[in-house]
Amino acid sequence: MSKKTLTLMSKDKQLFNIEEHLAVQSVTIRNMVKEDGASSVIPLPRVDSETLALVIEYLNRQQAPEEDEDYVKKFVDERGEIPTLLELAQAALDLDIKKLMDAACMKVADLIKDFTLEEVREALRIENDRTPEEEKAIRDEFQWAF
Amino acid sequence: MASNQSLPSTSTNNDSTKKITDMDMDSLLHCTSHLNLQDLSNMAVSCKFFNRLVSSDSIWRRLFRERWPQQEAFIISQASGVREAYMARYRALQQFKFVDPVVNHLYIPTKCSDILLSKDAIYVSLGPRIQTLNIDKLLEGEVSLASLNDHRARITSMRLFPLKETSLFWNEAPINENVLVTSSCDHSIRLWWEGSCKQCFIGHIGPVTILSDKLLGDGTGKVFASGGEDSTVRLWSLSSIGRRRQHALKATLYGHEKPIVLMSVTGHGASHLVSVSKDSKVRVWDASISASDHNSSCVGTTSVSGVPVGMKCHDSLIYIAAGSSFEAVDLRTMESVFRTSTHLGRLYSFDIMPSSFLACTGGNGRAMLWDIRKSTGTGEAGPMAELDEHIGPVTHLHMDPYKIVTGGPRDPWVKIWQADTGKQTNMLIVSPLQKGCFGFAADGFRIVTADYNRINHNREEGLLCFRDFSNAVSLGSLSDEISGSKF
Repeated sequence: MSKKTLTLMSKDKQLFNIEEHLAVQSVTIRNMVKEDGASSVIPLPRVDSETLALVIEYLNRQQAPEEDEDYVKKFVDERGEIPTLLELAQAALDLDIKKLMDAACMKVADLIKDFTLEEVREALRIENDRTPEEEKAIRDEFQWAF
Repeated sequence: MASNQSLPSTSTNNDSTKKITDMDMDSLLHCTSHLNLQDLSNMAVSCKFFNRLVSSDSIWRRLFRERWPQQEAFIISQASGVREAYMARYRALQQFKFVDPVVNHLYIPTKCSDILLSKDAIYVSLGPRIQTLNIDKLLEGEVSLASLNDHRARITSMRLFPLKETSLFWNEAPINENVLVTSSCDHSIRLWWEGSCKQCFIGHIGPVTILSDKLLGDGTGKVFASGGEDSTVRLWSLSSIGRRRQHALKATLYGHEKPIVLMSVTGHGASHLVSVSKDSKVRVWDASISASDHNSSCVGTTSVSGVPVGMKCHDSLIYIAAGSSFEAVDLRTMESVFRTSTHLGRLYSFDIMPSSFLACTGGNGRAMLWDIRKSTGTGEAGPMAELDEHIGPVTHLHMDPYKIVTGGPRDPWVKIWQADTGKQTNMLIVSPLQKGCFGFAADGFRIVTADYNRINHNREEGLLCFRDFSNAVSLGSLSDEISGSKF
């Protein structure tokens, strides 16, 4: 008999097949398989199909162990779009795929690291939800760190 | 199937514009493990959601561990309030409240006239020489001392300017480096970097007495200012260093009639410069106005009474200490808007934290803390607190958001006070020579003090004492009650 295949379903109900021994790199999927045998479709209601395709691509990689670090880094680096990167980071965390999660989170952190407040706000499209008075208060509170 | 019940009912919302604030807290917490205090502060300020995130104990536990690895056991035992614990320790270290800092000593041949402290070096001026001391090496117990010997007469002023603001050597230098600029009685100003003199600025006719505290101008056209015994203020370009040295002198500003003794760049657009001459006359210059007609650069004048002691500009105000009082002058009107009482005796030193509305003056036997918001207008303000029990004049003063440091040449102790209340937090012996404080430089967690002893008419010695509180652990009992005998 050939290797066992699992079917994953994205938030928008698209189905993806992946060999079980590759899928269980995700601790979340491994636990689900252990719990109920998971002979049927595994729903991943927080992951959209675009992101799930990326995750599957990652899980299917055929890297020699010594090249794996570089591969993960490159894989994440290629996700230039911030929303894609955020989705990927979230999915990696939800699915508990350690290396991918670490690399994606590091890349998210790079969007903040060493930038000024204004640059961070602009790059991440964060809306200032404070009144000018509240903003001044919080700036004063954190003044010591600067 | 049991697992199917978690299928989402609305799956059409597959937008490609996920924002960082849509991520859940756990994911974001994972991301923050790569960020430092500065980055996290930016996050907290950027929006309320991030502020909640940054309040998390796990973040502060990590920051605490990274900053003070030896204190790990303590912070692991804290179940909550980790951020508060971090802040409390940070504040106490900033206020030197500990009795066990790392201490290093270094003998110097003579009396130091000025000390500067940068992230990795101590700069001491000794007559015509500057000695630079590598701090990392010093902490390893090794003395790595470099001497800068090009000046031929006494050094009058030393400044460190951030290299990144100067547009000098920018492509080869790390971002946080400083250039050292010194003025001397040999009529010259020298710029030093990496242990050697990179440029000599010549133009003053007579000793150069003072350098501006900051750089003037914006972008690429940065200049610094100097004042001399020739009563002129001169502006020097930092962008023409190299072959075209003759162009470094950008302008000579005439108007003062006596040697310049104080100089400060205003926070207002950084193109205004204030100078005070020995006869207590104050002039404001607009450095952006072309120097072809000298008089047009001077945009305001006033005068203070008594010997000029210290000056600092902030926003549109100039704070000047002279004689026995200090006052604030509004740059736009050149009117005095605040003045302290003159009945408390001669001043020897002055420092100010304009952002927290506090100033400090050094007098004879004590220093005084002032709240500059109180009694603005015509009335004369009284001190908010007296920092007492010094021997002799308080000639050296440092003020930062956490502490005030005071010292004088007749007192073998340097004293540390809480900046907001004037309450004493510690006292430090200047050096084992136990003569007095002939200079010090302090920053967040560190202080270097200089002592001097004249043994007889041809023998003298100086001693520097460097203390680093960053990893101190034993809290002194001094913050509550203090008496000299406790040491």
